[in-house]
This record gives sequence, structure tokens and C-alpha cells, in this order.
Amino acid sequence: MKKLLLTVTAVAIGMTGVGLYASPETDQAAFVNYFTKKFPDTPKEDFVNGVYSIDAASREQWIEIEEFPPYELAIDAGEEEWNTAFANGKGYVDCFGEPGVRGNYPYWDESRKEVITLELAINECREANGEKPLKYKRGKIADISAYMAYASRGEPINVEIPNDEALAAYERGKEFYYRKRGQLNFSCFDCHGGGAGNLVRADKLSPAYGHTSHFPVYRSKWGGMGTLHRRFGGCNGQVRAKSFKAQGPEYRELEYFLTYMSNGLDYNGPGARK
Amino acid sequence: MNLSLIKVCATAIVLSFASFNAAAGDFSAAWDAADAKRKEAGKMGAEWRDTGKMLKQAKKAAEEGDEAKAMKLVAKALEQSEDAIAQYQREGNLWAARVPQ
Amino acid sequence: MRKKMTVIKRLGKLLAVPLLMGTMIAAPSYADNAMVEKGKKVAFDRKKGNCLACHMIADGTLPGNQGPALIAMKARFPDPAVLKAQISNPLEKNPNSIMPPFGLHNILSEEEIDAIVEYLLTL
Repeated sequence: MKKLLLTVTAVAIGMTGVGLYASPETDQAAFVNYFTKKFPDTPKEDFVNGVYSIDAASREQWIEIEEFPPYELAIDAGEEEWNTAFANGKGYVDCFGEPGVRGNYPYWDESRKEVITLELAINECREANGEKPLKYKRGKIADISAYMAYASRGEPINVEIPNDEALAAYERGKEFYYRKRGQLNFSCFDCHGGGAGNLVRADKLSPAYGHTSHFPVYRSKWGGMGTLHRRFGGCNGQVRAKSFKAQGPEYRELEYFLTYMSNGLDYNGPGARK
Repeated sequence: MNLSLIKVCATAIVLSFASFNAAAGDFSAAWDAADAKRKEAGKMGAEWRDTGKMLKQAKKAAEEGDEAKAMKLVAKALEQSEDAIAQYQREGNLWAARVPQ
Repeated sequence: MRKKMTVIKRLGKLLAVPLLMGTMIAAPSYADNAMVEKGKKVAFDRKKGNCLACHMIADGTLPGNQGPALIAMKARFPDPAVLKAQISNPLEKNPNSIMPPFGLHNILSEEEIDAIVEYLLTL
């Protein structure tokens, strides 16, 4: 009986790939170790500042930009949205309680069996109150998200994986991250893991550790605000992969995995990036 | 005797129509096959960015009467989907080893 | 006035062929100049080779550094077929390579890759 048990266990371990056997906790520890080793001069908590945490030259420019942050208009617009009642008299406050709840997202909803993100929750609040849902990549959704992110600055990132189904979603997000895709054959980690700190033409690649903390983001390239899923879509397009729907299951689970990897860091949105 | 002669003539007429429309039929079938492959890649989450656009351009070229261009685009699109599926299968064995330990 | 122009035209026509032949004779017989020029164009084209994104190349500005600098190429690749294979399908040598498989994924045509090889071997 013991022999059979040992054999079965050995086979089970052998069958799972190396990357699948580890738990999320050991995954995260190894992830953090990878980046702190790669960038030993960067204090851990500073990774939330992306490329500016690993490149002194662009950091100078960024600090200047932050004196008159380009996302301020979005925060103001978002605050106005927050304070404007729906047609039925209710407001976002009735769904969320207060704006500073960014730290609750993303989370695994055990009854709905899916990942809930902040932007998804914003639209569900609207629809529950008879309002039309907003588009997910830019505009009003980014404004509201920016206001809520700003109100939540300093909250710790603490994504939980409460059960096996949540774990499966985490594993799907993880596989998405490390799989090469697109005609150009890149995985997310190719650029933001192994390639972090390298230059693509004149752009320095930011490390994945701390990646989702500062969204939504004012990106100079966009000349405006955008959400995390807008960036996901853009990245996929850049490697000539067909991008997925914003707030579809793929990007929500990717967000779930990626945010978990930054557990322990603090939310610092909204952000400004090149 | 008369009946079989009629049958032969009928077959000849049908076949001649078929060959007359062969070009258009070839494109339609080829386009459908390429789009089916694209959807197959899409189900895996492996579809490439430009495949759908290629198929749209192929339809447009066919409508404008440029058979050669249309077929070329269809062939390109099919190859993209086949390469995307091959990539997906190849990666199945590779991605896990990249995870930092 | 018109007569002068005609003379010049005729002179031009007379000299055209020997001049042309002169430039052809002056071109190196080893590398095909036209191919080298085409290769450089494709290599620097952001929608095609886009090699500067990751590689330092002489004549290129703001190069990336994800890959090795493209220098001393003839010495590093005495066999052009090896260089061609690396560009066409870098996954053969390293399945985790971050270099796009330009041939395998039809990012470039075979002629374009051949031209790039010609250009790179001049670096």
C-alpha cells in the first residue's frame, strides 16, 4: 500500500512541469528574488515606480513631471463622476462605500467563480443602477479608476487565492504570462523578466515586479489616460498577437496573476509613464 | 439509348459550368478553409494580429476581380494560422521551464 | 540655344553606356551591391527586420541592446548559411530565444533574409 502511494505521488510530481508544482507563495518568493537580484540597488518598495526605479536618468525627468502630474485632470474628472448621482438617485458610493477601495481588487469571487477587477466592478455598479456601461480602455472609466486609485494610494497589494478554482485561474494567468505568442514570438516575461533593464531602441524595459500597482496610467505615448487592460492589448498587438477583449477572462486572470506577484508592495496609482 | 445520351450531355453541361465557376469556387472554398483555421487558432488563444485583416483584404481583392492577389492573401492567412497553432503546441512544452524558481 | 541642348543630349547618350559599364566594373565582384543595399533597407525598416530594436549596428542610431552588437560579422559567421539559419529560425539553437523567427514565422521572405545576410557580412 505504502509502495503504491509513493509511486503514485512520484508519478504525480513527475507529471507536473517544474513551473506548475510550486505554490503561488513559492512562485512569488522566487519572482521577487529574481528581480531584487537583477536590480540590487533598487529598494524593494521602489519597484512600483517601474522603469524609474532602475534608471537614474529617466527618473530625474519623471520626478519633474510628477510636480505637475499629467493625471491630475483625470483624478478631478473622476471625482466629479463619483459625486454625480445616477438617474435613479444612487451613486458609486452605494456600490463601493468609499473611493479608497482599490486595494480590494482584483479578487476571486467564489460564488460567480471569476476574477473581479476594479473596472469591471465600476461597470457592474453602473448597470445595476440602470446606467450604460463604459468602454474599458480609456475615457470615463480611466477617470473614475484614477480617482479611486488616488484615494487608495499607499494601500498594500494583497491578492488572495481562496480556493482551488481561484488557484486554477491564477495558474491560467501565469501560463499566459510565460507563453510566447504572436508572430514575433514573445512572452511577457521575455521583455519584462529577462529583458528588464534592456533597451528596445531608446526605451528601457520595466521589470514585471511592481507592474500593476500604478494603474490607471497617463502614458505620454497615448497622450492620455488608459487602463491596465488597454496596455495589455497594446503589448499583445506589439508582438503581433491578436489582443483579447478588455475585461475578458484572459486579461482578468492575467491581472490576477500579475498583481499577486506584487503582493507586499503598495498601490501607487494613478501613474505617469513614457 | 436516348436517355444515356441525354445523361452524358447533361453531365457535360454541368461539368462545363463547374469548370467555368471553378475559379470563384476555388477562392470561396480556400477562404473558408483559411478562416476556419483562423478560428481554430483563436480557440486556443493563439491567433496572430494580422490574419483577420489578410482575409478581409482577400475578400476585397476577389470582389475587385484580382483573383491572383486574393488567392495569395488567402494562402498567407492560412500559413499564419498554421504557424500560430504550431507555436501554441511548441510552447506547451516550453513555457513552464521559464518560471523563476 | 536649342542646338547646344541637342549636342549635350547626344553627348550624354554617347557616354551613357561606357559610364554605366565603368560603374559596373568598379563594383566589387564578391558582394552584390544591390543586395547589400536592399539588405540594409530591410534591416532598418521598423516593419520588417527592425534589427536596431535589439542590436547595435553601425550607421544606426538609438540601438537597443537586447541582443549582441552586430560587428565583426564575417569573422563570427564564416559560413553565411549559419547566419541565415540564425535569422530564419533562432529557435533551432535556443527554443527560448527572444529573437523573432523571421523565416519560420514569415516575418521576412527568404529573399529579404538573403539580402540581410549580404548586408550583415559587410559589418
